[in-house]
Amino acid sequence: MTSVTLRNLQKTYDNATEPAVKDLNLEIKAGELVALLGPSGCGKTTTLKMVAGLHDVTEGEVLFNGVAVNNIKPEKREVVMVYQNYLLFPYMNVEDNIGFGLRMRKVPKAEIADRVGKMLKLVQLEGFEKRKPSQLSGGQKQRIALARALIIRPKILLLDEPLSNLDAHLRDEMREMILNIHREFGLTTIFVTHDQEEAVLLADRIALMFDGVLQQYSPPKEFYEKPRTKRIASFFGNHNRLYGVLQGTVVHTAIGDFATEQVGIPDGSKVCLVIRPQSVLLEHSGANCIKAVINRIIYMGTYIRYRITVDGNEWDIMGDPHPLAGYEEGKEACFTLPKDKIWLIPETLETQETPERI
Amino acid sequence: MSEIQKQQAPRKQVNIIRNIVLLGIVLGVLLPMLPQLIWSITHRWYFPDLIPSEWSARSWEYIVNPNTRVIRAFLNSLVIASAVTVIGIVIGVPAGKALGMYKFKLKWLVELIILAPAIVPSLAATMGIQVIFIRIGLADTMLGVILVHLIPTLPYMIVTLSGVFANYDPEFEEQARSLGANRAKTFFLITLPAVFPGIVTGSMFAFLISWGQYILTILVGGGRIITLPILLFSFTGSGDNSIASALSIVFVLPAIIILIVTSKFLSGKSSGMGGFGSI
Repeated sequence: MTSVTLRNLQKTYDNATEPAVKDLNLEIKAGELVALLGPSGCGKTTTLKMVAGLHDVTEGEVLFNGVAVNNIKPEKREVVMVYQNYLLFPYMNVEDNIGFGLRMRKVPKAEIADRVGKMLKLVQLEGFEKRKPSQLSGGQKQRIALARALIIRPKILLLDEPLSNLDAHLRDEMREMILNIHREFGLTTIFVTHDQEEAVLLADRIALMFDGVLQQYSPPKEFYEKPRTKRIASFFGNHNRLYGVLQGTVVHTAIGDFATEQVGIPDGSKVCLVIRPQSVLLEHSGANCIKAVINRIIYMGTYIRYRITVDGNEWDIMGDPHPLAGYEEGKEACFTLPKDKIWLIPETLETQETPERI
Repeated sequence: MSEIQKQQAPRKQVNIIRNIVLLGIVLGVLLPMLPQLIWSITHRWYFPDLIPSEWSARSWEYIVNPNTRVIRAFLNSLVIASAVTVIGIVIGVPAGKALGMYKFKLKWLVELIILAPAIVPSLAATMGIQVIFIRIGLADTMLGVILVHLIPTLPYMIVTLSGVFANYDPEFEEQARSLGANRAKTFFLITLPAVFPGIVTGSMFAFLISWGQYILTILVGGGRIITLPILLFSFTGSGDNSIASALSIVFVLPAIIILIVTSKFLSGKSSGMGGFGSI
């Protein structure tokens, strides 16, 4: 079991002016499954390769169990990376591909054959020993690549976009396999993805990066419920906004006052109140209530979407799939914002952010 | 049944046409060799005889006779072409890697300069080189001939290898490192097999171009360095058809052998143009 610590990690490529990764600090517990999430070019793969030792560190340190490994060569780190496009060696059959790492470690042939067999069983590809990579489907290649990595019993497993090249039904299968393997081996696993859904489904904790800078590092749930910035909130999908000023535990807005439970933001701060579409209640409870005309009602099968305009912002609200009396298109209705579901983002933080693209 | 026949008919026709074309190509290549073969075992063959009037093994005896210059010329050709190929690989691999994998300023100019000898007749450059070689003592030497043969061969070597490297994914090397292979093992187990078809293809070009050089050899070799083409020219000029024919067969044989040995790298998936990354 190995923990990973990234301390003030920085990477600037040779002919780049801006660093690809800026002053990154990250603590990954032994046995944890962590996602590095972000849009392409945000530095997540660079970070992964620095952990693997495949990219030099410009500044800062990579530590395994508290020991700096900056000067340890990639082949000595016992960290294996599984690439997005699998990179099975085309001139070797499945057996030789999986056994590659063991051959490099001079493991006896009989033991290699035995362990390759066990690995193939683990990834449910028994009998594939003699196949060539060109004879395998994408999902099979992925599983062989995983087997090739796991067979050397690495300290840390690194996965680069593990699900993104797979069909929808294979994704579920692969996700199950990765979770099972992670649980069985107790391996510290870091994976890179641009897909927030993939990160949420797999990871214990997500490290979200924009432009080489770590934005938020927390369990998936908090990205939905407690995004640190509006950009993070947008990256994690649909949310509704309302602007106001915080006084004590009450947000004063143009359309009324809303009570919150959030603490830690200074009095008098300008804040953006965010709430997710499914958190808004279709009821009139007196407090924390918004009165608005319903612009549109869209029946979505498993739920109904209500579109309203709140203080100039378009809001999306998800309700039960059963039509409610009083909630009709073109009529005014009441919507309640439960105070424990309201999340406030101080506006000062936002000024440092680059403008959103969504 | 009639429908099946209709469907099969065009395919049959295509097959027939293909076989005729194939036969034409084979005959086109091999037929001109037939008179050579006959000439090489002829003592006398005058017009209008359809077949020679007198047969003789004289020219073959001449070729294998250690007292003539033939074996010497053959060895010279072999040494020069091999050396040109090896030097070509040593220069071509890094050059091909740089051109195939990296972007840099004025790359187009570098590419143009590298390709220039394949476009401009190498004779033009050699005239100037000869003067310099005489001055620095490289004229009339094996080394001088080898160096001058690099001019027409390097472009083919580098272009072939840059194509291979353009398709090469350096992440394969990272993957091997991450699985525990050190630099040397990564090179021999991963990089080399990936670029090997390209090296074979480029080497074949280099060897054959060098093997067939006449003008550059005679200019820089000054008649001292005798290679097969030079012998061949002199016998053709002297009118001894018999020995010239036998020599030309000896001259062509290595080319055919090399083609057969390397043909699997020239076609299909393992092509020198395909490379590692496309698989």
